[in-house]
Parts: sequence; C-alpha cells; structure tokens
Amino acid sequence: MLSIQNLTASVLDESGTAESNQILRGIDLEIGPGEVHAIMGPNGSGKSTLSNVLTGRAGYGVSGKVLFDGADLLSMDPEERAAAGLFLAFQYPVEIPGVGNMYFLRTAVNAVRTARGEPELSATAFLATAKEAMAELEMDPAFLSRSVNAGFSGGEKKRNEVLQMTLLQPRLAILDETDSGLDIDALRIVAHGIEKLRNPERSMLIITHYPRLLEYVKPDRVHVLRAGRIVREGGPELAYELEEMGYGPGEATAEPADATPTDTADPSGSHAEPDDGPQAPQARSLL
Amino acid sequence: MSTAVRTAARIPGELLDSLAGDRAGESHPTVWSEWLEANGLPDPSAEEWRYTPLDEMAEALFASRPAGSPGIDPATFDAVAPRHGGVRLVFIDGRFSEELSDSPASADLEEPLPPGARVGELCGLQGPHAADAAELLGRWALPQGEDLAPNDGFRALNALGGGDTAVVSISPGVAVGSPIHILHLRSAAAGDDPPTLSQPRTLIDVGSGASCRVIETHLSMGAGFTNATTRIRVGVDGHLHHIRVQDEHHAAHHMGDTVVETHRGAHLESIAVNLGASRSRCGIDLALCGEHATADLSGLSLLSADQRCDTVLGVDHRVPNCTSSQDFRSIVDDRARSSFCGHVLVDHGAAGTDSSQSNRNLLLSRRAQADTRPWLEILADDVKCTHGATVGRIDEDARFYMLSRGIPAEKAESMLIGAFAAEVIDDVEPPALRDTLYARIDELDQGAHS
Repeated sequence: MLSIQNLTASVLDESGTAESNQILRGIDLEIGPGEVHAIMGPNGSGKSTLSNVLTGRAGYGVSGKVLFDGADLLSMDPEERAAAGLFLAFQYPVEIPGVGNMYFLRTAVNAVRTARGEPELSATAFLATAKEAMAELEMDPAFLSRSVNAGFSGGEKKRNEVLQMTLLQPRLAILDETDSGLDIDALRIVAHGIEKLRNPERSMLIITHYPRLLEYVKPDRVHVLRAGRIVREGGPELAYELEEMGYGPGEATAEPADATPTDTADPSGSHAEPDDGPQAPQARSLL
Repeated sequence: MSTAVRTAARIPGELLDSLAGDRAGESHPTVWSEWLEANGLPDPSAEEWRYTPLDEMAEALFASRPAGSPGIDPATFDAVAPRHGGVRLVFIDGRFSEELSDSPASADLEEPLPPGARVGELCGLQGPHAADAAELLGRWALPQGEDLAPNDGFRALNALGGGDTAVVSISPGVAVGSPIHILHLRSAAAGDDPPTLSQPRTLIDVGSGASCRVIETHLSMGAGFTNATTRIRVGVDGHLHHIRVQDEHHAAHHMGDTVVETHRGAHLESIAVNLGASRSRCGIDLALCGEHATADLSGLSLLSADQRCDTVLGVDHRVPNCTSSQDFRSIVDDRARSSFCGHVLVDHGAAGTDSSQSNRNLLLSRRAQADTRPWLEILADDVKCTHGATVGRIDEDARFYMLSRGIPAEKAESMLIGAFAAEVIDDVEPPALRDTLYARIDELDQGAHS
C-alpha cells in the first residue's frame, strides 16, 4: 500500500533552498494492506518530519520516491493525498477559531467523498454519523458546535483527531504521537477508537515514544528511526526491548530536534497538555 | 494651520457658491462659507487625518458638482437597492425621494411602525420630534459648537450644502422591532457633466428607554464624491443597533462622518462595513456622556484592487463607569490599503472606565498594506483600557491542517477568511444582509485566485 524508497528531506530556508543538514537521510519502508507499523526513536530522529513529508507539508526539500497504492505520492497536493486516503493525526492539532467543528468536519468529509466519486452526505446523515462516532470516543456532542480545537484540552484535541479519522475512513492513517499527553483513561479510549478502525484494507503508521499505545494497537512491525535513518526493525517485542534498554549508544543525532516548520509555529511550544491530568505513570521517557 | 489654510484656498469658489446657492433659503450659509475660507479642509498632518489620502480626496471633491436633477429611474433603482424588511427611506443625491420611500403608515410593511416612532425627512416631520431633531442638528451644526469634536472642513461643507436630513426619532419607551433602513444613493453624472457631489445627512434620536435598529446604506452609480454626516443620540437607557454600509461605486470617493452621544445607561451597538469606493474614510466620534452606558463599536473593511479605506475612531469617555469596545477588522487584497486609527480618551474623573480595542488585518496579497494605530489617552485613575493590533496573512498551520483533511485550498482559504470576519459579521442582522457580506468575502477570495 505504501512504499517509501530512499526518502530524504531537508528543511528549506526562506529563499527556498535546502539547508545543509538533512533530517531524513534515506528511508526505506514498505507497509502492506491491513498492516500496522510503529516507528519509535529518540527526539530529533526525524519522526515528525517523516509524517510532514508524507502528508505534503510545504517547507521541505525532498528526494526519493513514495508510492501510495502505486501512485506517486510526492507529486500530489496535500488535499489530493487526503482524497486518495491518506490521513495524519497531528501531534499538535491546530486550533482554528471561528470555524465551527461541525462545518469543518462535514466540509472535509464531503470534499473527500466528492473526490472519491461518492455522493455528499446530507446535514442530517452527517450529524447522525458524527454523533455515533463521538459516543464511541466518549466525546460530548457539544464539541460539534465549538470552533475547531479552540480551547480544547490536549486530550480533547487527540480525540477530535481520532474522530476525524473515523469519519474520513482513510486507507492509511499516520498517527503522530497521538498517545502523548493523554492520561490512562483517555489513552484507553483513544486507543480503542484506533483499534476499531483496524481492518484488512486499512494500514497504519504509528509514531510513538511509548509501548503503551502499542499494547492496545499491536503493530506488525516496529522500526527504530535514528538520525534520519531506520537503524533497527523487528516485531512487536522490539518496543518492549527499547523501553527496557533504551535506544542505546549509537550514532549521535545530527540535529538538536525535529527542525520542522510545525514545531516552531506551535503556539504552546511544549508537550504539556493542560486538562488531562498528569502524564500516565508508565509514560517514562526512553532517553 | 498654514497647510489647512492653503488647502482651503484651493476650494473652488464656484463649488462653494453652488453649495451655498443650494440652501439659499436657510439661515446661515455665509457662516459656513466664511468658516471654510478661514479653515479649509483638514490639516493633513493632524493625527486623525494622517492616513487619509487628503490630496486625492480634495481633487475628487473639487472636480465634482451637485447633480442637476435626480438622475435615476425607478427600474434601475429597484435593481440595485437592497431591502432589509422594515420601513425604507430613500434619498437620491441628498434629496428625499417620496416616490421611492415607504410610507411609514403603509399597509405593505411587514410590521408597521408603532406610534411614537417617526421616520422621514426633517422638513416633513411635525410636533416634538421635529423640534428635538432641529435642536440636535442645531447643536451639532455650529462651527465652534461645544459638543463637537475638532471641527473640520468636510463637516462644514456638509453643513453648508448638505441635502435633506433623514430623521429617525423614537419617543421615550417605544420599541421598534423591524430594522429601519435609510438608503442614500448618489447618481452617476449625465453625459459630459462633472462627477456628482452628494452630501447626505442622517439623524437618529433614540429617546429614553426606547430601542430600535437602523441600517444606513450608502450607494452610488458612478464616480464622484459623497460627503456624508450621521448624527446619533441614544437617550437614557435607550438602545440602538446601527449598521452603516458603504458600498459605493468602485471609482467613488466617500467621506463618512458619524458622531454619536450616549446618555446614562444607554446601549449602542454599531457595525461599520466598508466595501466600495476607491478612496474612503469612515470616521466615528463617540462621546459617552452619561454613566453606565455601553458602546460596542465594530467594523469590517473588504478591500481589493487599489482601494484605500481609512477608519478613524474617537471614543471619549467623559463620565465614570462606562464601557466601550472597538473591534475593527480588515481583509485586504491586491494593492489595497487599510488604515485604522483608534483614539480612546478617558477624561479626568472618568473612573471605572472599561475600554477594549482590537484592530486585526488580514492581508491576502504581497502588495496589500495595513496601517494600525491604537491611541490611548488616559487622564483618569482606576480605569481598565486594553488594546491590541495585528497584521497578518492566512495562518499556514490552519490552512495545512484543512488541506490535510481533504478540503481544497480555495475552500480552506475562504473558510479561514470567513472565520476572520465572523466575529464582526455574526452580529449583523437581518441574516440576509449577513449572507450578502459572506458572499462578498467569497468574491474577494475568488478574485485572489483569478
């Protein structure tokens, strides 16, 4: 379903030329239909850059090849990628004051349906679908009438991401640290929401620091990303090994952090999530 | 002052004569001519005129003349003139059109005006309403009137040669449900005639405990100059919802001047929408004259091509314990330029004042410009005054988030632009007018892609 071949990426400076240090330095990854892959790795290894490049965020100089269901993903606009079935659950979901969540969700669902040649959902049909999905995620239907993510707690934002994923029914979902900042209950609800979407036709790429989410959504393969390369691969047991042993000494990371345009633009600038209580006790950093 | 006098000297005598002659029957045209000769148009170096392109305004003004005869036929009028549900008064080139206006007693109205609400042309009014209106006008009209914020030549010109006065006068305790619509339309010049000059006047007097909604629209059919004044009084515990829409011809010049006073416990909601005209100014001077009044001023400018619009506020907290807010936004495309100057004065002794100001500008093109100037002058203790200003482009993070959900780029941008305007537009009533504004935003956005 997804075939990444020798993918490299550098951040572009303001004039549009690539800065010297590459963040991704030749990634190869194959994800088959229905497969769930996890990518783990220390901060700054390029995990968020990978998800940004796959979804088509501007600001990167990219080389290599990515095939999505056989099509050249890198030549597609972000909205075309979404229509083709790619979905990214953002690490930091964006607040959009003034755009109602319901209007946003329905516009997105109908845009994707139109692009896929399916009829648009009526307001009533959409509302029924949305409410059902929200009940599964234990979300208050009042969230539909609020602005997109505006004033949502960290946990509410992550649930809203999984809600969007449920409504958009992607072929491939990339989950970028969807588990970060969630307390134990919220993690369970979100994880169940994700696991429920698992089916033989839908693949997932889970980016995470912690094996906890992977207990709920068991991956077929685990990859370790380090300094822009995949340095280890294994089965689900690799996640536990990493938690026990750490990523170990190795090639020093070339960059201080994922130098992505998103990171600098993130208003909160931290992983702190206000209203979902303290970090889960098992969520110990691996480094 | 030397600049002002020099500018004044350029006002063509022929123009002054044509204006004075226009009101020959009234009491003191010579006062105005003399005042104008002595003071002229505003001094371009004065703070509140700093961003107004006075040279271009003066040039357009001097080239224009009052329209010879009402220049619009009813069919054309019906095609361009909006309706907002309530009673509508129509003024063409500053002259009341009885033919095109609703009769307030008309059975065609969805909701006839209650007794105690009077609308019409000043001279057609009778009884206490007329006396009140005349008293108000007289007070505001004096060149050195005590209640008038620094006078200027455009006000003087309007006083000298202004048209019929549209009056909305609501008796104490009377509530008017449906919106009262005042439509000022300037005709296009006929043949080789010079561009038209129109000087509309509007007076709104809301009595104690009375409430009403007024929509004031300024339209034009061609190039020329509109020099409009609006005078508003909101009495003790009165409530006024006022929307002013400037949607003039793209080659027009528009000078808008609104002066408001609020009395004890009054509540004013004012929305100023600027869509049209090549060069325009939207001036609002608000005096809070009685305690515990609340005034919420907001505005939206949609500018494209090489339009310029200057919004200038003067909010004067004269007495303690009043609340005011100013929320002005502009969406600027192409080479257009929006300016904002928001002067808030908290007078000596006006303790307990609560004032907040926000000016936000969204630039849609590289060459679009916005100037913003908050100007707080606080002479009292124990007051709360805030202000904030932003000039920015479409939020790239929000845009990408929407694209990543499959929303096409154009739709995502129009949703974000709409969201930017929503905070102002969502207070617009009736809904049809609100929908029209959203449609205009979409047009602006479509233009950005063509």
